[in-house]
Amino acid sequence: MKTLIQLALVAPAFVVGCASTAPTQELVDARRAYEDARISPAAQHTPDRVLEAKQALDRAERAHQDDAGSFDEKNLAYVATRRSELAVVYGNYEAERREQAALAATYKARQDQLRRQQQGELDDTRATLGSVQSSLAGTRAELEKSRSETAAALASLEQVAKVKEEARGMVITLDGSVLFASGKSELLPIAQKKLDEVAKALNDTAPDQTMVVEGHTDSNGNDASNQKLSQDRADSVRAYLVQRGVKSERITAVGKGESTPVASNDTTEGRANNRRVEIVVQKAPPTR
Amino acid sequence: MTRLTTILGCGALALVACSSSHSMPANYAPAQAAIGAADAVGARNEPRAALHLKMARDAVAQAQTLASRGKEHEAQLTLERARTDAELALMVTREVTARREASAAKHEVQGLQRSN
Repeated sequence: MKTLIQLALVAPAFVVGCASTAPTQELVDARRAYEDARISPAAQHTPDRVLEAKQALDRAERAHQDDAGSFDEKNLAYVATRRSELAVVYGNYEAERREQAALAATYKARQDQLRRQQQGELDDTRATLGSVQSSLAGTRAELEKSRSETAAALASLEQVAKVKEEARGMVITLDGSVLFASGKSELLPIAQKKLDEVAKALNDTAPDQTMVVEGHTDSNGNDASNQKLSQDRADSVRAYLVQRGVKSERITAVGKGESTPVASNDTTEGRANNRRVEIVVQKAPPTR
Repeated sequence: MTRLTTILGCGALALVACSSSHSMPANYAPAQAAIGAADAVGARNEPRAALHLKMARDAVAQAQTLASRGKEHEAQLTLERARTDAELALMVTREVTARREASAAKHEVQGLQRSN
């Protein structure tokens, strides 16, 4: 009976003893919190904080071994839990900071790239502008040279022929008596010199324009012979101009006979004016 | 009269001695400093941080009670709890702020990458 009583007294004490070695809920939480911290980014980013959490847990474990279920164990386990949570937050914070730094670097790199791109485009534009300006200057110089040559050619032409602008184009009038002997269609030697000047002026001033050589007579003689003579003379002038470099496809010859007088055929002077060859340089079509 | 004065004087001295023997543990100031720091970064405006800040304040109050009862060791441990809760409140607030800033920076970078 005595033994039974002793056993009855010892058994609860044993149970209490076993129960007291079981960790408190606070310690269980602390262990779990530390495991979470150990596998969190904190292990990589802020290992010192994980170490602090481990040290706090070790303190709680010692308190548990020294006096299981005690105030110390519970409080130190609570502190250990918070240290582990703190380690996780430190790790996350550090990860955020690193991401922010990486983003800032990316932002700056992109900005630099855009700046370089814009600078490159600006340089290209400047280079193009410089090239265009240079080309424009060249074109201006060429145009100026061309104008000078045209003016010189026209001035030279005006010394050997009458030049005037009409609706049908520029009309160069050559005196018939200077070009041909009376009733003939062969060019006189002096006429060839004048036509040399005309050919040069035509090539300089209107190299691509079409033109018509018109032969005109006075009213002496019959219409048919005048018509033939004017055509023959126009043909002679055309042939000579082609010989002097005017493109054949640009130039045609037309005999007008006595049909288009510019003065009265009743006077000697008037008839002299009517005997003529006109070169009509047709106006160039407007460029677009 | 002289005797009464002596008794009152001794009583006063005993009270002073009694209160000084129940002064707060040395880790009271660090705990309070941690609470002040968490408060300064706006912990009360972040729900999780605000909860830890409150726990820290409650723990300090509890530690004061324990200290007043002469339980200095318990008060010290409770202040340690208060300090870790306050530190957690501080870091949670910083982490939330950093996350917001990183998110804003991400949007800026994406915006810049879309340009041109």
